[in-house]
Amino acid sequence: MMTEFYALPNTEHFWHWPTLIHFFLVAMAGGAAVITTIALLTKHPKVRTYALVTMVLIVLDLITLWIESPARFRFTHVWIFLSFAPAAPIWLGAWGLSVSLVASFFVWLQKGPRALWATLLIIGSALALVYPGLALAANINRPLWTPVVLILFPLTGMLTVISIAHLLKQDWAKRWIAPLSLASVAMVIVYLAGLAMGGTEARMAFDYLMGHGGLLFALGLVLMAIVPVIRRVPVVAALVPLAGATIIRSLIVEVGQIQFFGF
Amino acid sequence: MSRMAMAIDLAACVGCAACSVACKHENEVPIGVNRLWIRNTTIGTFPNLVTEFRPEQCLHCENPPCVPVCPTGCCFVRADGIVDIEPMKCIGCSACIAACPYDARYMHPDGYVSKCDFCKHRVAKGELPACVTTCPTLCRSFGDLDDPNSDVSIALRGARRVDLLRPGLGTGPKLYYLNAPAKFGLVGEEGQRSS
Repeated sequence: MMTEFYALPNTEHFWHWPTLIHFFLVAMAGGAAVITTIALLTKHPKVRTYALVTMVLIVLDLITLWIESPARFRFTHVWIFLSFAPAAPIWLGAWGLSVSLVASFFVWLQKGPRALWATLLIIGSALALVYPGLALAANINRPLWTPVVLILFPLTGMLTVISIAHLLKQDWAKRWIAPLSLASVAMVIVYLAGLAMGGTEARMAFDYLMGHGGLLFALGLVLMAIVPVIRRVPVVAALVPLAGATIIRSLIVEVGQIQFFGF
Repeated sequence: MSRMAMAIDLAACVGCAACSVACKHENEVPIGVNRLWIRNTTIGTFPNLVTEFRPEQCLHCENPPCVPVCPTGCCFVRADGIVDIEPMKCIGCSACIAACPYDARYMHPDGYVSKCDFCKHRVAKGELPACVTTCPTLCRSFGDLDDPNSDVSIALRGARRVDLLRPGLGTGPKLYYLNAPAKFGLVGEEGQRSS
């Protein structure tokens, strides 16, 4: 079979490196919002600090989103909040981050009804954490964005933020790193197995992933898998899973933009 | 209500790309992106060769996956079934580009997503899309699917075979390929026939 084109289909990558930064920051922001929620519910003494960190991360993420948008000087982003599009993962994510930002602000101020902020944070942080995986899995035409990312992305998102918390010497974080790392490794294996043992398109996608970052993917997997072995070295135990989770997430977003239509 | 659709007779298409040039000119499509392109595929072994010239563009799906993922509602289905974009509401998030199974959408240099709109400005004046008007072999038919006397309805009724692109995805394309030259239908779509 030989294929030629007159003019080309629009197969260029549509998400570039700023999007990868956004996926990293939104994992941190969503994870931080979850931690703030838990801290608020358990009356943790550092809840104000966590709320402040959540706000900073959300603002940084929103700035990244604004910078990467080709429409940033048309300020059309306001339409997200003037529309009702609950089937759109980006709409859900935008509202999740915004609600988390507002609730975190009042938690930091220690003003207003605590029960309301807790409720808003539970909803907002959950949306912010799950939305990146949802934004990928919604595209059934892109075989590398399988439904497994719906679980893999929140897991690695929490691993990312827990690693940072461990790096910042938050005692409670230490005990969560190994379980989260191993759960993430398990989901990555499920993800790869699903591709390798799937249909024709899934197997093509598996080969494509291995050919366009397979070594890096393996490195990410190994970095998360060795966490139980190195957990006694604090800084390394935080940086290694952080790097592993970020590599895996970035590769799935970047390489996953392929679809095999017409190949 | 109407359902505007297009049919392309692949037995008549010679791959001259006049439609692609007309589209580029009519809609001032920027360099490096396209609303319409021709996929020219040859299969078989000499002397048993089959060549398929397949023009591709937005298929104006009945269940367009690009519409529900749009967070601002800028991507929508018009009352006449044309899948359209309102540029001033587009935030350039590319969610619709990701969702399109046909690579039909692109980012316009002015910061909004664009694609084929069946030349809606011409349709509004009662004219045919530029690609239909310019085709020298008259392989394209355009019109309302709900009107049994429209060009597209007549072409569909008269075809010996009708194929869709990626029918397994359930998008319900309203761009129909008629009389594909290969025995199994569209090249690369084997086993996906839904007509």
